[in-house]
Amino acid sequence: MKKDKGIVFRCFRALVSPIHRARALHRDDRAQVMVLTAVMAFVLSILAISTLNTSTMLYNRIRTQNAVDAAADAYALWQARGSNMAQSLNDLHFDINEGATIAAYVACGIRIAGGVACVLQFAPIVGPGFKVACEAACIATKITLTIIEIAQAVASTLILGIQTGLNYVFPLIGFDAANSIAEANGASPVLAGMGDFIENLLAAFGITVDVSSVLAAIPGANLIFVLPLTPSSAFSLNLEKKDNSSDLPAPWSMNSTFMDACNDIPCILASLGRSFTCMKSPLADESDECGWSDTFFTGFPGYTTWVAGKQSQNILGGLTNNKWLNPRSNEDPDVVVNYVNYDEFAFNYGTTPGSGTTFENPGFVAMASSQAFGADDIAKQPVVETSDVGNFKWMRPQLISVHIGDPPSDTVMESMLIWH
Amino acid sequence: MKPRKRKKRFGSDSGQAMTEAVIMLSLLSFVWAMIGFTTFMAANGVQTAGASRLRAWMAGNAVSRSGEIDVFFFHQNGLLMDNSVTDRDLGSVPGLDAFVTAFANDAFFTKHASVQFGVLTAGAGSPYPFSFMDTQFPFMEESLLSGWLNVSTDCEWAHVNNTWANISVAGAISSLLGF
Repeated sequence: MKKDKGIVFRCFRALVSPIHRARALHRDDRAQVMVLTAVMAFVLSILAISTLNTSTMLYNRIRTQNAVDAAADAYALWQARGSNMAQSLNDLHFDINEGATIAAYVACGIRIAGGVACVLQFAPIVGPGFKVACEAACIATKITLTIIEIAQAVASTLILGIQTGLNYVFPLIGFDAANSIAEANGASPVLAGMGDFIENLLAAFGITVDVSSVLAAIPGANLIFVLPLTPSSAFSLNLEKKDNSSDLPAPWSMNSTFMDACNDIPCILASLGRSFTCMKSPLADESDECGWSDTFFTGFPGYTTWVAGKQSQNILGGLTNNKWLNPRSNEDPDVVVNYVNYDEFAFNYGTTPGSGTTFENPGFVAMASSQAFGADDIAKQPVVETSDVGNFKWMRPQLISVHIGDPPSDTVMESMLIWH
Repeated sequence: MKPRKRKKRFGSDSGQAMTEAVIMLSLLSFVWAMIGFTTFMAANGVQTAGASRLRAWMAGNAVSRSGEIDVFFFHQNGLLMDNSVTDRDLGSVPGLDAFVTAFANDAFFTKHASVQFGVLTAGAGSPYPFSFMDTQFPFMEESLLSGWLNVSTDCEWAHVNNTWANISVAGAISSLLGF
Protein backbone atom coordinates (compact mmCIF):
# COMPACT_ATOMS: atom_id res chain seq x y z
CA MET A 1 0.00 0.00 0.00
CA LYS A 2 1.28 3.30 -1.10
CA LYS A 3 1.86 5.56 1.74
CA ASP A 4 0.23 8.94 1.52
CA LYS A 5 2.85 11.54 2.07
CA GLY A 6 0.31 14.08 3.20
CA ILE A 7 -0.81 17.46 2.03
CA VAL A 8 2.01 19.24 3.76
CA PHE A 9 4.57 17.28 1.82
CA ARG A 10 2.86 17.83 -1.51
CA CYS A 11 2.56 21.54 -0.95
CA PHE A 12 6.14 21.78 0.12
CA ARG A 13 7.27 19.88 -2.95
CA ALA A 14 5.16 22.05 -5.22
CA LEU A 15 6.60 25.16 -3.72
CA VAL A 16 10.23 24.26 -3.67
CA SER A 17 10.33 22.36 -6.89
CA PRO A 18 9.42 24.21 -10.06
CA ILE A 19 9.29 21.00 -11.99
CA HIS A 20 6.81 19.45 -9.66
CA ARG A 21 4.79 22.63 -9.58
CA ALA A 22 4.65 22.78 -13.35
CA ARG A 23 3.58 19.15 -13.53
CA ALA A 24 0.89 19.78 -10.97
CA LEU A 25 -0.46 22.75 -12.85
CA HIS A 26 -0.35 20.82 -16.09
CA ARG A 27 -2.56 18.13 -14.61
CA ASP A 28 -4.96 20.57 -12.95
CA ASP A 29 -7.87 21.64 -15.17
CA ARG A 30 -9.63 23.68 -12.53
CA ALA A 31 -10.35 27.42 -13.04
CA GLN A 32 -9.41 27.41 -16.71
CA VAL A 33 -12.80 28.79 -17.73
CA MET A 34 -12.49 31.40 -15.07
CA VAL A 35 -9.18 32.58 -16.45
CA LEU A 36 -10.52 32.67 -19.98
CA THR A 37 -13.58 34.56 -18.87
CA ALA A 38 -11.53 37.08 -16.96
CA VAL A 39 -9.45 37.71 -20.06
CA MET A 40 -12.59 38.07 -22.11
CA ALA A 41 -14.14 40.47 -19.62
CA PHE A 42 -10.99 42.57 -19.66
CA VAL A 43 -10.91 42.71 -23.44
CA LEU A 44 -14.59 43.59 -23.52
CA SER A 45 -14.04 46.34 -21.00
CA ILE A 46 -11.26 47.84 -23.11
CA LEU A 47 -13.48 47.69 -26.17
CA ALA A 48 -16.31 49.33 -24.23
CA ILE A 49 -14.06 52.12 -22.98
CA SER A 50 -12.78 52.68 -26.49
CA THR A 51 -16.32 52.86 -27.76
CA LEU A 52 -17.31 55.34 -25.10
CA ASN A 53 -14.28 57.47 -25.82
CA THR A 54 -15.14 57.44 -29.50
CA SER A 55 -18.64 58.53 -28.57
CA THR A 56 -17.20 61.28 -26.41
CA MET A 57 -15.02 62.49 -29.26
CA LEU A 58 -17.95 62.45 -31.65
CA TYR A 59 -20.08 64.26 -29.10
CA ASN A 60 -17.41 66.90 -28.57
CA ARG A 61 -16.98 67.31 -32.31
CA ILE A 62 -20.70 67.91 -32.79
CA ARG A 63 -20.87 70.28 -29.83
CA THR A 64 -17.91 72.25 -31.16
CA GLN A 65 -19.51 72.62 -34.54
CA ASN A 66 -22.82 73.54 -32.92
CA ALA A 67 -21.09 76.24 -30.92
CA VAL A 68 -19.33 77.89 -33.82
CA ASP A 69 -22.30 77.58 -36.18
CA ALA A 70 -24.67 79.14 -33.66
CA ALA A 71 -22.12 81.86 -32.94
CA ALA A 72 -21.65 82.66 -36.62
CA ASP A 73 -25.39 82.74 -37.13
CA ALA A 74 -25.86 85.03 -34.12
CA TYR A 75 -23.27 87.45 -35.47
CA ALA A 76 -24.88 87.41 -38.91
CA LEU A 77 -28.19 88.16 -37.20
CA TRP A 78 -26.78 91.35 -35.72
CA GLN A 79 -25.17 92.20 -39.03
CA ALA A 80 -28.61 91.92 -40.58
CA ARG A 81 -30.25 93.88 -37.78
CA GLY A 82 -27.65 96.63 -37.99
CA SER A 83 -27.99 96.77 -41.75
CA ASN A 84 -31.76 96.85 -41.52
CA MET A 85 -31.58 99.66 -39.03
CA ALA A 86 -29.17 101.56 -41.26
CA GLN A 87 -31.53 100.98 -44.15
CA SER A 88 -34.49 102.17 -42.10
CA LEU A 89 -32.55 105.30 -41.21
CA ASN A 90 -31.81 105.79 -44.90
CA ASP A 91 -35.53 105.49 -45.51
CA LEU A 92 -36.26 107.99 -42.75
CA HIS A 93 -33.56 110.28 -44.12
CA PHE A 94 -35.08 110.01 -47.56
CA ASP A 95 -38.55 110.80 -46.22
CA ILE A 96 -37.27 113.85 -44.31
CA ASN A 97 -35.47 115.15 -47.38
CA GLU A 98 -38.53 114.53 -49.46
CA GLY A 99 -40.69 116.42 -46.98
CA ALA A 100 -38.19 119.26 -46.89
CA THR A 101 -38.18 119.42 -50.68
CA ILE A 102 -41.95 119.57 -50.87
CA ALA A 103 -42.01 122.21 -48.16
CA ALA A 104 -39.40 124.25 -50.03
CA TYR A 105 -41.43 124.06 -53.25
CA VAL A 106 -44.55 125.18 -51.38
CA ALA A 107 -42.63 128.03 -49.78
CA CYS A 108 -41.35 129.04 -53.19
CA GLY A 109 -44.87 128.96 -54.55
CA ILE A 110 -46.00 131.28 -51.79
CA ARG A 111 -43.07 133.50 -52.50
CA ILE A 112 -43.85 133.68 -56.20
CA ALA A 113 -47.41 134.57 -55.29
CA GLY A 114 -45.96 137.25 -53.10
CA GLY A 115 -44.07 138.42 -56.17
CA VAL A 116 -47.38 139.20 -57.84
CA ALA A 117 -48.20 141.40 -54.87
CA CYS A 118 -44.83 143.03 -55.32
CA VAL A 119 -45.70 143.97 -58.90
CA LEU A 120 -49.04 145.30 -57.77
CA GLN A 121 -47.42 147.57 -55.19
CA PHE A 122 -47.17 150.22 -57.90
CA ALA A 123 -50.88 150.17 -58.52
CA PRO A 124 -52.69 153.34 -57.54
CA ILE A 125 -54.60 153.44 -54.28
CA VAL A 126 -54.11 149.80 -53.35
CA GLY A 127 -50.37 149.87 -54.02
CA PRO A 128 -49.25 150.46 -50.43
CA GLY A 129 -51.30 147.50 -49.27
CA PHE A 130 -49.69 145.21 -51.84
CA LYS A 131 -46.28 146.52 -50.84
CA VAL A 132 -46.88 145.43 -47.28
CA ALA A 133 -48.11 142.06 -48.50
CA CYS A 134 -45.11 141.77 -50.80
CA GLU A 135 -42.61 142.40 -48.04
CA ALA A 136 -44.46 140.18 -45.60
CA ALA A 137 -44.47 137.32 -48.10
CA CYS A 138 -40.81 137.92 -48.78
CA ILE A 139 -39.83 137.78 -45.11
CA ALA A 140 -42.15 134.88 -44.28
CA THR A 141 -40.94 132.68 -47.09
CA LYS A 142 -37.33 133.57 -46.39
CA ILE A 143 -37.79 132.50 -42.77
CA THR A 144 -39.67 129.39 -43.87
CA LEU A 145 -36.95 128.36 -46.29
CA THR A 146 -34.33 128.96 -43.63
CA ILE A 147 -36.21 126.81 -41.14
CA ILE A 148 -36.59 124.08 -43.75
CA GLU A 149 -32.89 124.13 -44.48
CA ILE A 150 -31.95 124.09 -40.81
CA ALA A 151 -34.37 121.24 -40.08
CA GLN A 152 -33.08 119.24 -43.00
CA ALA A 153 -29.49 119.83 -41.97
CA VAL A 154 -30.14 118.90 -38.32
CA ALA A 155 -32.03 115.75 -39.24
CA SER A 156 -29.37 114.74 -41.73
CA THR A 157 -26.58 115.30 -39.22
CA LEU A 158 -28.40 113.30 -36.56
CA ILE A 159 -29.23 110.39 -38.84
CA LEU A 160 -25.75 110.20 -40.32
CA GLY A 161 -24.33 110.35 -36.79
CA ILE A 162 -26.53 107.50 -35.61
CA GLN A 163 -25.56 105.46 -38.66
CA THR A 164 -21.89 106.12 -37.98
CA GLY A 165 -22.38 104.80 -34.46
CA LEU A 166 -24.37 101.71 -35.33
CA ASN A 167 -21.76 100.86 -37.93
CA TYR A 168 -19.50 99.99 -34.99
CA VAL A 169 -21.99 99.27 -32.18
CA PHE A 170 -23.86 96.44 -33.86
CA PRO A 171 -20.72 94.39 -34.53
CA LEU A 172 -19.89 94.69 -30.83
CA ILE A 173 -23.35 93.46 -29.88
CA GLY A 174 -22.97 90.73 -32.47
CA PHE A 175 -19.65 89.63 -31.02
CA ASP A 176 -21.12 89.55 -27.54
CA ALA A 177 -24.05 87.50 -28.80
CA ALA A 178 -21.76 85.10 -30.67
CA ASN A 179 -19.52 84.73 -27.64
CA SER A 180 -22.44 84.14 -25.28
CA ILE A 181 -23.96 81.49 -27.53
CA ALA A 182 -20.63 79.75 -28.10
CA GLU A 183 -20.15 79.48 -24.35
CA ALA A 184 -23.68 78.20 -23.84
CA ASN A 185 -23.06 75.55 -26.47
CA GLY A 186 -20.02 74.18 -24.72
CA ALA A 187 -17.09 75.90 -26.39
CA SER A 188 -13.87 76.23 -24.42
CA PRO A 189 -11.95 79.51 -23.94
CA VAL A 190 -10.54 79.97 -27.37
CA LEU A 191 -7.36 81.88 -26.59
CA ALA A 192 -5.92 79.15 -24.39
CA GLY A 193 -6.63 76.58 -27.03
CA MET A 194 -5.21 78.71 -29.80
CA GLY A 195 -2.07 79.16 -27.70
CA ASP A 196 -1.62 75.43 -27.49
CA PHE A 197 -2.25 75.12 -31.17
CA ILE A 198 0.32 77.79 -32.05
CA GLU A 199 2.86 76.19 -29.74
CA ASN A 200 2.39 72.86 -31.44
CA LEU A 201 2.72 74.48 -34.82
CA LEU A 202 5.92 76.31 -33.91
CA ALA A 203 7.34 73.21 -32.27
CA ALA A 204 7.16 71.49 -35.62
CA PHE A 205 9.78 73.98 -36.80
CA GLY A 206 11.86 73.60 -33.70
CA ILE A 207 10.68 76.84 -32.12
CA THR A 208 9.69 76.67 -28.47
CA VAL A 209 7.56 79.60 -27.36
CA ASP A 210 5.20 79.75 -24.42
CA VAL A 211 2.32 81.29 -26.31
CA SER A 212 -0.48 79.88 -24.22
CA SER A 213 0.79 81.54 -21.03
CA VAL A 214 1.04 84.88 -22.80
CA LEU A 215 -2.48 84.57 -24.18
CA ALA A 216 -3.84 83.30 -20.87
CA ALA A 217 -2.42 86.39 -19.15
CA ILE A 218 -4.57 88.67 -21.27
CA PRO A 219 -7.32 90.07 -19.04
CA GLY A 220 -10.60 88.39 -19.81
CA ALA A 221 -8.97 85.69 -21.90
CA ASN A 222 -11.11 83.07 -20.24
CA LEU A 223 -14.23 84.96 -21.25
CA ILE A 224 -13.65 84.70 -24.99
CA PHE A 225 -15.10 81.58 -26.56
CA VAL A 226 -15.15 82.44 -30.23
CA LEU A 227 -12.85 84.47 -32.44
CA PRO A 228 -13.35 86.08 -35.84
CA LEU A 229 -10.81 85.17 -38.49
CA THR A 230 -11.93 88.06 -40.69
CA PRO A 231 -11.52 91.13 -38.49
CA SER A 232 -12.43 93.59 -41.25
CA SER A 233 -16.01 92.40 -41.21
CA ALA A 234 -16.07 91.56 -37.52
CA PHE A 235 -15.72 95.06 -36.14
CA SER A 236 -17.69 97.08 -38.65
CA LEU A 237 -20.76 96.76 -40.80
CA ASN A 238 -18.64 98.25 -43.58
CA LEU A 239 -21.12 101.05 -44.12
CA GLU A 240 -19.73 104.13 -45.81
CA LYS A 241 -21.11 107.44 -46.87
CA LYS A 242 -22.03 107.52 -50.50
CA ASP A 243 -19.53 109.49 -52.50
CA ASN A 244 -21.30 112.79 -53.11
CA SER A 245 -18.76 114.29 -55.46
CA SER A 246 -21.61 114.62 -57.89
CA ASP A 247 -24.91 115.74 -56.51
CA LEU A 248 -27.38 112.97 -55.90
CA PRO A 249 -30.83 113.35 -57.37
CA ALA A 250 -33.64 114.90 -55.39
CA PRO A 251 -34.55 114.72 -52.64
CA TRP A 252 -30.97 113.94 -51.56
CA SER A 253 -29.96 117.25 -53.08
CA MET A 254 -31.86 120.47 -53.48
CA ASN A 255 -30.83 122.52 -56.47
CA SER A 256 -29.06 125.61 -55.18
CA THR A 257 -29.79 127.62 -58.31
CA PHE A 258 -33.48 127.01 -57.84
CA MET A 259 -33.31 127.90 -54.18
CA ASP A 260 -31.31 131.04 -54.87
CA ALA A 261 -33.77 132.07 -57.53
CA CYS A 262 -36.61 131.25 -55.19
CA ASN A 263 -34.95 133.41 -52.58
CA ASP A 264 -34.00 136.29 -54.78
CA ILE A 265 -36.27 136.81 -57.76
CA PRO A 266 -39.53 137.70 -55.99
CA CYS A 267 -37.69 139.91 -53.60
CA ILE A 268 -35.84 141.61 -56.44
CA LEU A 269 -39.20 142.31 -57.87
CA ALA A 270 -40.34 143.46 -54.47
CA SER A 271 -37.60 145.98 -53.96
CA LEU A 272 -36.77 146.70 -57.56
CA GLY A 273 -33.09 146.29 -57.22
CA ARG A 274 -32.82 145.75 -53.51
CA SER A 275 -30.26 143.07 -52.91
CA PHE A 276 -31.24 140.08 -50.81
CA THR A 277 -28.71 137.72 -49.36
CA CYS A 278 -29.66 134.11 -48.88
CA MET A 279 -30.45 133.28 -45.25
CA LYS A 280 -28.49 130.07 -45.07
CA SER A 281 -28.55 127.37 -42.46
CA PRO A 282 -25.35 127.34 -40.38
CA LEU A 283 -25.28 123.51 -40.72
CA ALA A 284 -25.48 123.57 -44.49
CA ASP A 285 -22.68 122.17 -46.55
CA GLU A 286 -21.93 125.19 -48.65
CA SER A 287 -22.29 128.52 -46.94
CA ASP A 288 -22.65 130.57 -50.05
CA GLU A 289 -25.48 128.65 -51.61
CA CYS A 290 -28.97 127.75 -50.59
CA GLY A 291 -30.31 124.21 -50.88
CA TRP A 292 -28.51 121.05 -49.77
CA SER A 293 -26.30 118.35 -51.10
CA ASP A 294 -26.97 115.41 -48.80
CA THR A 295 -25.62 111.89 -48.65
CA PHE A 296 -26.52 108.53 -47.17
CA PHE A 297 -24.84 105.38 -45.92
CA THR A 298 -24.42 102.36 -48.10
CA GLY A 299 -22.45 99.16 -47.72
CA PHE A 300 -22.21 95.42 -47.55
CA PRO A 301 -21.25 93.76 -44.27
CA GLY A 302 -19.48 90.87 -45.92
CA TYR A 303 -19.03 87.40 -44.61
CA THR A 304 -17.26 86.57 -41.39
CA THR A 305 -15.45 83.39 -40.49
CA TRP A 306 -15.41 82.28 -36.87
CA VAL A 307 -13.40 79.75 -34.98
CA ALA A 308 -14.24 78.01 -31.71
CA GLY A 309 -12.93 74.93 -30.01
CA LYS A 310 -13.36 72.41 -27.31
CA GLN A 311 -10.47 71.46 -25.15
CA SER A 312 -9.24 67.94 -24.78
CA GLN A 313 -10.57 65.78 -21.99
CA ASN A 314 -9.17 62.89 -20.07
CA ILE A 315 -10.36 59.63 -21.47
CA LEU A 316 -12.83 57.54 -19.57
CA GLY A 317 -11.96 54.57 -17.47
CA GLY A 318 -9.05 56.00 -15.57
CA LEU A 319 -6.64 55.10 -18.32
CA THR A 320 -5.12 58.54 -18.38
CA ASN A 321 -1.66 57.53 -17.39
CA ASN A 322 -1.42 54.11 -18.94
CA LYS A 323 1.58 54.53 -21.13
CA TRP A 324 1.01 51.33 -22.99
CA LEU A 325 -2.24 52.77 -24.26
CA ASN A 326 -0.58 56.01 -25.25
CA PRO A 327 0.77 55.66 -28.76
CA ARG A 328 2.93 58.73 -28.34
CA SER A 329 4.53 57.78 -25.09
CA ASN A 330 7.30 55.77 -26.69
CA GLU A 331 8.17 58.25 -29.37
CA ASP A 332 11.65 59.55 -29.60
CA PRO A 333 11.54 63.18 -28.41
CA ASP A 334 14.05 64.06 -31.08
CA VAL A 335 11.82 62.81 -33.85
CA VAL A 336 9.97 65.61 -35.58
CA VAL A 337 6.30 64.94 -35.28
CA ASN A 338 4.11 65.33 -38.30
CA TYR A 339 1.85 68.11 -37.14
CA VAL A 340 -0.38 67.89 -40.17
CA ASN A 341 -2.28 65.04 -38.60
CA TYR A 342 -5.84 65.93 -37.79
CA ASP A 343 -5.32 65.29 -34.12
CA GLU A 344 -2.66 67.95 -33.99
CA PHE A 345 -5.23 70.61 -34.74
CA ALA A 346 -6.89 69.82 -31.47
CA PHE A 347 -6.62 72.08 -28.52
CA ASN A 348 -4.20 71.08 -25.86
CA TYR A 349 -3.38 67.64 -27.08
CA GLY A 350 -1.63 67.25 -23.81
CA THR A 351 1.23 65.03 -24.76
CA THR A 352 4.72 66.17 -25.41
CA PRO A 353 6.39 63.59 -27.63
CA GLY A 354 8.32 61.21 -25.48
CA SER A 355 6.91 62.30 -22.17
CA GLY A 356 3.94 60.02 -22.11
CA THR A 357 2.26 62.17 -19.55
CA THR A 358 -1.33 61.93 -20.62
CA PHE A 359 -3.52 60.33 -23.20
CA GLU A 360 -6.57 62.39 -23.85
CA ASN A 361 -9.55 62.64 -26.03
CA PRO A 362 -8.48 65.31 -28.48
CA GLY A 363 -10.13 68.67 -28.49
CA PHE A 364 -11.58 70.07 -31.66
CA VAL A 365 -11.42 73.28 -33.59
CA ALA A 366 -14.33 74.18 -35.82
CA MET A 367 -14.93 77.05 -38.19
CA ALA A 368 -18.02 78.52 -39.76
CA SER A 369 -18.76 81.49 -41.97
CA SER A 370 -21.88 83.55 -42.12
CA GLN A 371 -23.18 86.81 -43.43
CA ALA A 372 -26.24 88.87 -44.05
CA PHE A 373 -27.28 89.34 -47.63
CA GLY A 374 -29.92 91.08 -49.67
CA ALA A 375 -33.54 90.23 -49.96
CA ASP A 376 -33.38 88.10 -53.07
CA ASP A 377 -29.91 86.76 -53.56
CA ILE A 378 -26.39 87.36 -52.56
CA ALA A 379 -25.54 89.10 -55.83
CA LYS A 380 -27.62 92.07 -54.82
CA GLN A 381 -24.94 94.15 -53.26
CA PRO A 382 -24.70 96.37 -51.39
CA VAL A 383 -27.10 95.36 -48.66
CA VAL A 384 -27.78 98.88 -47.49
CA GLU A 385 -28.74 101.20 -50.32
CA THR A 386 -30.52 104.45 -50.90
CA SER A 387 -34.24 104.66 -50.51
CA ASP A 388 -35.98 105.51 -53.72
CA VAL A 389 -39.69 105.70 -53.38
CA GLY A 390 -40.08 105.50 -57.13
CA ASN A 391 -38.26 102.22 -57.48
CA PHE A 392 -38.54 100.87 -53.97
CA LYS A 393 -34.93 99.81 -53.98
CA TRP A 394 -35.12 98.74 -50.38
CA MET A 395 -32.53 96.08 -49.88
CA ARG A 396 -33.80 94.52 -46.71
CA PRO A 397 -30.98 92.41 -45.37
CA GLN A 398 -31.88 88.90 -44.44
CA LEU A 399 -29.82 86.27 -42.80
CA ILE A 400 -27.75 83.83 -44.72
CA SER A 401 -29.57 80.63 -45.43
CA VAL A 402 -28.44 77.96 -43.05
CA HIS A 403 -30.27 75.07 -44.57
CA ILE A 404 -30.75 73.33 -47.85
CA GLY A 405 -34.35 72.86 -48.64
CA ASP A 406 -37.34 74.63 -47.23
CA PRO A 407 -37.92 73.55 -43.64
CA PRO A 408 -41.62 74.38 -43.46
CA SER A 409 -42.30 72.26 -46.51
CA ASP A 410 -42.20 68.53 -46.71
CA THR A 411 -38.65 68.57 -47.98
CA VAL A 412 -36.32 66.62 -45.78
CA MET A 413 -33.79 68.88 -44.17
CA GLU A 414 -30.62 67.64 -45.73
CA SER A 415 -28.32 70.01 -43.96
CA MET A 416 -28.47 72.79 -41.46
CA LEU A 417 -24.85 73.69 -41.72
CA ILE A 418 -23.56 77.12 -42.43
CA TRP A 419 -20.48 77.38 -44.59
CA HIS A 420 -17.88 75.11 -43.17
CA MET B 1 -20.48 -8.54 2.05
CA LYS B 2 -19.55 -5.09 2.80
CA PRO B 3 -21.08 -2.47 0.55
CA ARG B 4 -18.66 -0.91 -1.83
CA LYS B 5 -17.38 2.36 -0.62
CA ARG B 6 -18.50 5.22 -2.80
CA LYS B 7 -15.74 7.06 -4.49
CA LYS B 8 -15.25 10.50 -3.11
CA ARG B 9 -16.29 13.32 -5.48
CA PHE B 10 -13.49 15.54 -4.29
CA GLY B 11 -10.95 13.76 -6.35
CA SER B 12 -12.84 14.29 -9.61
CA ASP B 13 -12.89 17.36 -11.88
CA SER B 14 -16.11 16.40 -13.59
CA GLY B 15 -18.52 19.33 -13.56
CA GLN B 16 -15.79 21.73 -12.65
CA ALA B 17 -15.76 23.45 -16.03
CA MET B 18 -19.52 23.54 -16.09
CA THR B 19 -19.69 25.18 -12.70
CA GLU B 20 -17.11 27.75 -13.67
CA ALA B 21 -18.84 28.37 -16.98
CA VAL B 22 -22.15 28.99 -15.26
CA ILE B 23 -20.59 31.45 -12.89
CA MET B 24 -18.48 33.23 -15.43
CA LEU B 25 -21.04 33.23 -18.22
CA SER B 26 -23.44 35.02 -15.92
CA LEU B 27 -20.67 37.49 -15.19
CA LEU B 28 -19.92 37.86 -18.89
CA SER B 29 -23.60 38.29 -19.63
CA PHE B 30 -23.78 41.02 -17.06
CA VAL B 31 -20.71 42.75 -18.49
CA TRP B 32 -22.07 42.35 -21.99
CA ALA B 33 -25.46 43.77 -21.00
CA MET B 34 -23.86 46.73 -19.26
CA ILE B 35 -21.64 47.40 -22.26
CA GLY B 36 -24.60 47.14 -24.58
CA PHE B 37 -26.71 49.47 -22.50
CA THR B 38 -23.89 51.95 -22.01
CA THR B 39 -23.01 52.11 -25.69
CA PHE B 40 -26.72 52.39 -26.46
CA MET B 41 -26.99 55.40 -24.18
CA ALA B 42 -23.70 56.83 -25.47
CA ALA B 43 -25.02 56.66 -29.01
CA ASN B 44 -28.22 58.34 -27.91
CA GLY B 45 -26.17 60.96 -26.10
CA VAL B 46 -24.42 61.78 -29.36
CA GLN B 47 -27.80 61.92 -31.03
CA THR B 48 -29.08 64.40 -28.46
CA ALA B 49 -26.25 66.74 -29.46
CA GLY B 50 -27.54 66.80 -33.02
CA ALA B 51 -31.16 66.81 -31.96
CA SER B 52 -30.75 69.76 -29.61
CA ARG B 53 -29.01 71.66 -32.40
CA LEU B 54 -31.90 71.05 -34.77
CA ARG B 55 -34.42 71.91 -32.07
CA ALA B 56 -32.67 75.18 -31.21
CA TRP B 57 -32.17 76.01 -34.88
CA MET B 58 -35.84 75.41 -35.59
CA ALA B 59 -36.85 77.61 -32.67
CA GLY B 60 -34.50 80.37 -33.82
CA ASN B 61 -35.92 80.17 -37.32
CA ALA B 62 -39.52 79.86 -36.11
CA VAL B 63 -39.93 76.47 -37.74
CA SER B 64 -42.51 74.32 -36.03
CA ARG B 65 -41.53 70.75 -36.68
CA SER B 66 -40.46 69.87 -33.19
CA GLY B 67 -42.40 66.62 -33.21
CA GLU B 68 -40.08 65.20 -35.83
CA ILE B 69 -37.04 65.35 -33.59
CA ASP B 70 -38.01 61.94 -32.25
CA VAL B 71 -38.13 60.44 -35.73
CA PHE B 72 -35.09 62.17 -37.09
CA PHE B 73 -32.61 61.26 -34.43
CA PHE B 74 -33.64 58.29 -32.34
CA HIS B 75 -34.25 54.75 -33.41
CA GLN B 76 -36.57 54.22 -30.50
CA ASN B 77 -39.53 56.54 -30.52
CA GLY B 78 -41.51 57.70 -27.54
CA LEU B 79 -38.56 58.08 -25.21
CA LEU B 80 -38.05 61.79 -25.66
CA MET B 81 -38.44 63.12 -22.15
CA ASP B 82 -37.69 66.73 -22.93
CA ASN B 83 -37.99 68.54 -26.20
CA SER B 84 -38.53 72.04 -24.93
CA VAL B 85 -37.36 75.50 -25.83
CA THR B 86 -37.10 78.41 -23.45
CA ASP B 87 -36.31 82.03 -24.20
CA ARG B 88 -33.24 83.63 -22.78
CA ASP B 89 -32.11 87.22 -22.79
CA LEU B 90 -28.74 88.12 -24.11
CA GLY B 91 -28.27 89.88 -20.85
CA SER B 92 -24.57 90.54 -20.92
CA VAL B 93 -24.74 93.99 -22.47
CA PRO B 94 -26.29 96.59 -20.13
CA GLY B 95 -29.44 98.07 -21.57
CA LEU B 96 -29.45 95.79 -24.58
CA ASP B 97 -32.67 94.05 -23.66
CA ALA B 98 -34.56 97.35 -23.44
CA PHE B 99 -33.00 98.32 -26.72
CA VAL B 100 -34.07 95.12 -28.42
CA THR B 101 -37.52 95.29 -26.92
CA ALA B 102 -38.01 98.86 -28.08
CA PHE B 103 -36.77 98.34 -31.59
CA ALA B 104 -38.14 94.99 -32.51
CA ASN B 105 -40.58 93.87 -29.86
CA ASP B 106 -38.23 90.95 -29.33
CA ALA B 107 -37.51 90.76 -25.65
CA PHE B 108 -35.83 87.38 -25.86
CA PHE B 109 -32.81 86.95 -27.94
CA THR B 110 -31.76 83.34 -27.54
CA LYS B 111 -33.68 80.15 -27.96
CA HIS B 112 -32.44 77.58 -25.48
CA ALA B 113 -33.38 74.05 -26.52
CA SER B 114 -33.08 71.00 -24.34
CA VAL B 115 -33.39 67.45 -25.62
CA GLN B 116 -33.43 64.57 -23.16
CA PHE B 117 -33.74 60.93 -24.10
CA GLY B 118 -34.47 58.02 -21.80
CA VAL B 119 -36.54 57.46 -18.68
CA LEU B 120 -36.46 58.91 -15.19
CA THR B 121 -36.91 55.64 -13.32
CA ALA B 122 -36.66 52.12 -14.57
CA GLY B 123 -39.53 49.82 -13.79
CA ALA B 124 -41.15 46.67 -15.01
CA GLY B 125 -43.30 48.70 -17.37
CA SER B 126 -40.40 50.62 -18.84
CA PRO B 127 -39.67 50.09 -22.50
CA TYR B 128 -36.78 47.92 -23.59
CA PRO B 129 -33.92 48.14 -22.69
CA PHE B 130 -34.78 50.17 -19.63
CA SER B 131 -36.91 47.37 -18.26
CA PHE B 132 -33.67 45.45 -17.69
CA MET B 133 -32.42 48.25 -15.53
CA ASP B 134 -35.09 47.67 -12.92
CA THR B 135 -32.62 46.37 -10.41
CA GLN B 136 -30.58 47.50 -7.51
CA PHE B 137 -27.43 45.94 -6.26
CA PRO B 138 -26.55 45.76 -2.61
CA PHE B 139 -25.08 48.96 -1.26
CA MET B 140 -25.94 50.75 -4.50
CA GLU B 141 -27.62 54.09 -4.13
CA GLU B 142 -30.70 54.70 -6.22
CA SER B 143 -29.33 57.96 -7.50
CA LEU B 144 -26.45 56.07 -9.09
CA LEU B 145 -28.76 54.25 -11.43
CA SER B 146 -30.85 57.25 -12.34
CA GLY B 147 -27.82 58.87 -13.89
CA TRP B 148 -27.61 55.99 -16.34
CA LEU B 149 -31.17 56.14 -17.50
CA ASN B 150 -31.22 59.28 -19.58
CA VAL B 151 -28.98 61.52 -21.61
CA SER B 152 -29.51 65.16 -22.49
CA THR B 153 -27.89 68.02 -24.35
CA ASP B 154 -28.69 71.71 -24.48
CA CYS B 155 -28.14 73.98 -27.42
CA GLU B 156 -28.79 77.65 -28.01
CA TRP B 157 -29.54 79.49 -31.19
CA ALA B 158 -30.19 83.15 -31.80
CA HIS B 159 -33.65 84.30 -32.76
CA VAL B 160 -32.52 84.63 -36.36
CA ASN B 161 -36.05 84.72 -37.67
CA ASN B 162 -36.36 88.30 -36.52
CA THR B 163 -33.85 90.36 -38.48
CA TRP B 164 -35.77 93.60 -37.93
CA ALA B 165 -36.63 93.60 -41.59
CA ASN B 166 -39.72 95.70 -40.93
CA ILE B 167 -38.31 97.85 -38.21
CA SER B 168 -39.87 101.26 -37.77
CA VAL B 169 -37.23 103.69 -36.66
CA ALA B 170 -39.74 106.38 -35.79
CA GLY B 171 -41.78 103.95 -33.69
CA ALA B 172 -38.69 102.61 -32.01
CA ILE B 173 -37.44 106.06 -31.10
CA SER B 174 -40.81 106.99 -29.66
CA SER B 175 -40.82 103.74 -27.66
CA LEU B 176 -37.37 104.46 -26.34
CA LEU B 177 -38.32 107.98 -25.35
CA GLY B 178 -41.52 106.75 -23.75
CA PHE B 179 -44.16 108.44 -25.84
